[in-house]
Amino acid sequence: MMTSDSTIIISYRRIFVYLLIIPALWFALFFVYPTLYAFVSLVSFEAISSVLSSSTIWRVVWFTTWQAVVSTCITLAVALPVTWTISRFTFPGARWVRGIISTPFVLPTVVVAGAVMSLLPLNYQFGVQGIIIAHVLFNIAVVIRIVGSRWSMIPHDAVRAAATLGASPMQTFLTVTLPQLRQSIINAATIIFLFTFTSFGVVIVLGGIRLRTIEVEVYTYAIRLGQFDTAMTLALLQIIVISAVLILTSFTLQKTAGTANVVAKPLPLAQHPRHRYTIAAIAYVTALIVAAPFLSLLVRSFRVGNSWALSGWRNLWNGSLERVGLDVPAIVMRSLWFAFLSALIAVPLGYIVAAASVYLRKMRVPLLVLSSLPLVISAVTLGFGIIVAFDSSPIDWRGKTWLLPIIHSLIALPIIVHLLVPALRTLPQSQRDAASTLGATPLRVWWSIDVRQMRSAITSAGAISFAVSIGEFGATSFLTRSSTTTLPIAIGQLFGRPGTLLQNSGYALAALLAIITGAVMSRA
Amino acid sequence: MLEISHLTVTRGDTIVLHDLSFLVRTGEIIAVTGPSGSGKSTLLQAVAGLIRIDAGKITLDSVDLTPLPTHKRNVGMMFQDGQLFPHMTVAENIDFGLRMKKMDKTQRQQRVAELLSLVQLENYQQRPVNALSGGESRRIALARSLAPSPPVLLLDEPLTGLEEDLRYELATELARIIHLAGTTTIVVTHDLREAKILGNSVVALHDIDRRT
Repeated sequence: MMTSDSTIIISYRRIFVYLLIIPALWFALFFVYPTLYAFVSLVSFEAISSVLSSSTIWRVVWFTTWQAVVSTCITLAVALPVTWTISRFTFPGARWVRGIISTPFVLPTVVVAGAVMSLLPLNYQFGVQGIIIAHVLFNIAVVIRIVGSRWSMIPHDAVRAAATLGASPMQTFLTVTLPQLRQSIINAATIIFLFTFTSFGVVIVLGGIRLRTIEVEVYTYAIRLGQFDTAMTLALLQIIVISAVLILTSFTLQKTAGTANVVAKPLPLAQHPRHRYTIAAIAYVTALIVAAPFLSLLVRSFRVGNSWALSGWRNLWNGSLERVGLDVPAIVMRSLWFAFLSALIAVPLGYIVAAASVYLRKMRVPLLVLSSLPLVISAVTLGFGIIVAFDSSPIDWRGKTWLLPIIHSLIALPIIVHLLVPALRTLPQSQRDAASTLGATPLRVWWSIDVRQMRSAITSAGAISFAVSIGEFGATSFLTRSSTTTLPIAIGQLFGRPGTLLQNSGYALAALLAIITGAVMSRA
Repeated sequence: MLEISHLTVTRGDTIVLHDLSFLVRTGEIIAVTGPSGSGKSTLLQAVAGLIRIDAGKITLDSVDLTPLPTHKRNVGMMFQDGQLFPHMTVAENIDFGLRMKKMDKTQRQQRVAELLSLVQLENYQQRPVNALSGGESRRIALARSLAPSPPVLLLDEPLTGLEEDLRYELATELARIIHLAGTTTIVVTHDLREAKILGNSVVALHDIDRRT
């Protein structure tokens, strides 16, 4: 085909084959080597049999599984009605509703956990109810994004046709809408299950001392008990479960028959013949429920006991938290710097991987699979692998400050690649060819056509990698030292210590992190 | 007999239909034409109960349809582009309205075969709908809307998007099928020639002052 064999694409292929060496080395050194090394050196037959015969560990596995199943079911139950309203109708404030409901997903897990904790009465702050509420808040956006985009492609007239044939709204949903949403619901449920199965930050903050997921147990065995082999075996068990879930759901993959990729423009709710107020109420009430914990977090940061006070915020800056080892201004500056460096590493490397997967068709599948691995191998496992693998000369790096932005950029890689690939694919090849016939060199074509038209996708990728880094908690928990404490670690420490004033400052710091993340993500 | 009296529909600040009244006798086929934005499709949506109306009344054989939801009006409608359900076969699409009426299986199978014969696509029962041509999918859509034997049938630009030759050929075919079914019908089209082929009589929606 003319487009695939044009001179400019041949040049691009050659360039990206060479460039691909950089992310490949970076990925091999900081991801493949530490995780493989840790597995090979720590997992043994004895460790496996010891893990499998431990009733405590089976209790953890059972809790991890059931809380993930319950969290997934409740998230779907809460999210599907509001997904319907905002993907099918326009009404006053619809954009606000969408914005509010989507926000928790981009916030750090410790912020979401802190927000839920601030809303719950003291006796219920630590327990499974808080964990499930936080998981639901966090994951509603997954349903809106995945199911909502599919729902918005079902033509309004198809639903109307069912009604004119005598189907009630419920019958229409069950027989016409649901079969067309089935695959997207399975996809969303799988992602939510995996997120909640590997939950770390939320469970550390809200689980108290009793409730632990496998991910938390890996941390406990590795850092608190020093039993590295048990910790790594647990990490392996988790990877096996995640892979099994992904393989099982891949069997359900089906092409939705006759799917037209045309978005049905949302209808003005005012024209809907009935139940207008109910539909609007679903949207507004859900937005209010999602916003409530974050409003509560902000309010609680200004409350000491029963009175209003600025001490929670003031203590962040006046040095009084240094007695618990937290120099907050330095932590804020450090986190911002790490996030900036992480974006600076992740975006160019992610771009090279995305571009190579678009231009080198034979490499597409392996590249996308490899770059998705940080989603399967959790951040906690990666952090643990790093401290095991990088602990002796000449690669005794585990205490190095520069390791954190590198690890954060690895964690952001799958998101960046999946964001940039579709953007690159939409660029018409004919534009590159036109620029080339006008005398532009391959580098000039790349800059003038690809980069300039990809500006918004690249900015989004930068904002997302910044947000991932500034909120990263799992791998950072393993790698941080007192001199490299980041914002989420500081928040976790404040929530974990007794005392109203410290908790108050924890709320203030969580609110600050939410504001920073919200501001950055508004650029995405 | 379908009677539309003093029907008014507004959208925001725009009046789409203003105090519209007319009558369609049983078995009559009325073609409604008019320029784009004259409210032709809105008229059908109002009769089917798909949109909120501001004033007026719609009665069928003296029964007031206005307060009834769409699925209880017993008004068949064929939409632009057919709007067949993509996850069902041809037979399942035609059967859909019959299942909603809770007819027994043997009767339903008979009726599906009868309708496929009416639209001359007898061997299409198990075909997926995305394998149909434009003309075939319109015929199946018509069969689906006729299947539950609705006393009133509404056709919203039934031939839009088809090539000109096929459109007029299919218009003649649809007219034959509707006459055979004997259903009271309102068909909306912007094409006067198509309107003359399909309808016993033609009504033109005039432009009105649309500011409230």
